[in-house]
Amino acid sequence: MATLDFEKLVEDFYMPLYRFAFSLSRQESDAADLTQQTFLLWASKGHQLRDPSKVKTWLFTSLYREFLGRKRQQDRFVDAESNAEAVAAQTIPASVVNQLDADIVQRALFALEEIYRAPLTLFYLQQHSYKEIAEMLEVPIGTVMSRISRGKEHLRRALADRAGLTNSGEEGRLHG
Amino acid sequence: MDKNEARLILQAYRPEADRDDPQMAEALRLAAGDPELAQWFAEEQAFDRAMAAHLETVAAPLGLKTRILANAPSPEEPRQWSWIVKLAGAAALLFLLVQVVSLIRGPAPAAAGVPDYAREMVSFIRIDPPLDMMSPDLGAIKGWLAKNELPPMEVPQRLARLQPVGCRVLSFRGHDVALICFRRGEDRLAHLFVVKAEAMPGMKAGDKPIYAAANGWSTASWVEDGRVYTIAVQGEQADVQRYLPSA
Repeated sequence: MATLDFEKLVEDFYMPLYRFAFSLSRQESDAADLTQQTFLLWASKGHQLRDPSKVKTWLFTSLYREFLGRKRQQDRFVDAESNAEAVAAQTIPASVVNQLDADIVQRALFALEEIYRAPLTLFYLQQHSYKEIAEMLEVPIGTVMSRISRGKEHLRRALADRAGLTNSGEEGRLHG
Repeated sequence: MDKNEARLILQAYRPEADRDDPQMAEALRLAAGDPELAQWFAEEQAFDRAMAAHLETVAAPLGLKTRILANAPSPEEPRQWSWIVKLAGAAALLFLLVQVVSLIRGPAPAAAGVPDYAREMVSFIRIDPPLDMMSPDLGAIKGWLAKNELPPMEVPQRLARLQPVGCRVLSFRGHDVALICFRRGEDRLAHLFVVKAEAMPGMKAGDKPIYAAANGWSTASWVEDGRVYTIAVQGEQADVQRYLPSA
């Protein structure tokens, strides 16, 4: 595996890894550090990987573990799943999401609890199947599905709030 | 499987990745035969596409890729001699195989296109980039680049009339790229990228400039004296055209 072209690997994965890292850390500098650290890990340990088809999963899993390790040092990890409020189903049409400013949408996504944010971001990166996401986050497949589902409910509610659709039903603060 | 189960499963559906998954296939069949579920699923897919498009606009900080490549040690090699012998044997076999395949298939295809190159270069400059060397003197900038073994260049005259800010060295698929930034008006910059023409074998000297646009930036690329020149500015094609040698 050491023969894998390192520059090509960086070229292919640094951007999606950074996006995932940014969604986790919500800080540009932390996300850049996490991304760089992931490739440093690859440079020192990547040769241990026997199956070339697992490189992508290896990188994302390593980044996620690195993030969790740093997070545990900062605060005690609380699984928010059990405390998550039930969210009433909220409909926000895709056409409205399309028109929202990207910054507003990203803020809504990145404001979600981490247990929803991580699988949803991986899902929206459009590079991974739900089985790969389960592998990367080291949770059962059923848990990934329910987290994606509940995460979307939270996300829709947040987007509806930000688009001003929750109370008034008006078009809201649309961009452009 | 009932409709609620199908909804739960289909919410995690990725057309590119899950089409052959048996569980997904069953949920998709259910949706195909149920107009209400089908309508919900179409809206769900549109929502997912919109979200994915917004996520794609998250850009990495300038120079992150360069930083990663510069700071990463060489990937660790196995240390045992037996492994080295095996690797050497494998490399020799691979070399022979590559030679045979290249004889059969002819020359390798071009590695990268202008849009890839322009997009990546723009990703470096979307925010004012940190520079390796800062100077208002174009001669000093060119001297610094030459000292760092970058190929000599002819800065287009209309660009050379602007106030230089500085330069840095970037990397594109293993090729060094010289970037020179110029002040353009009060708060905007124009950027010139120069890389050896080998980096983009598909481009030929004498061809018309190739224009590309990404995230509000416009670029124009052309080949001259064995080098690919690219100018990038914020704005429309006309904004970049004015700095071309042929303008």
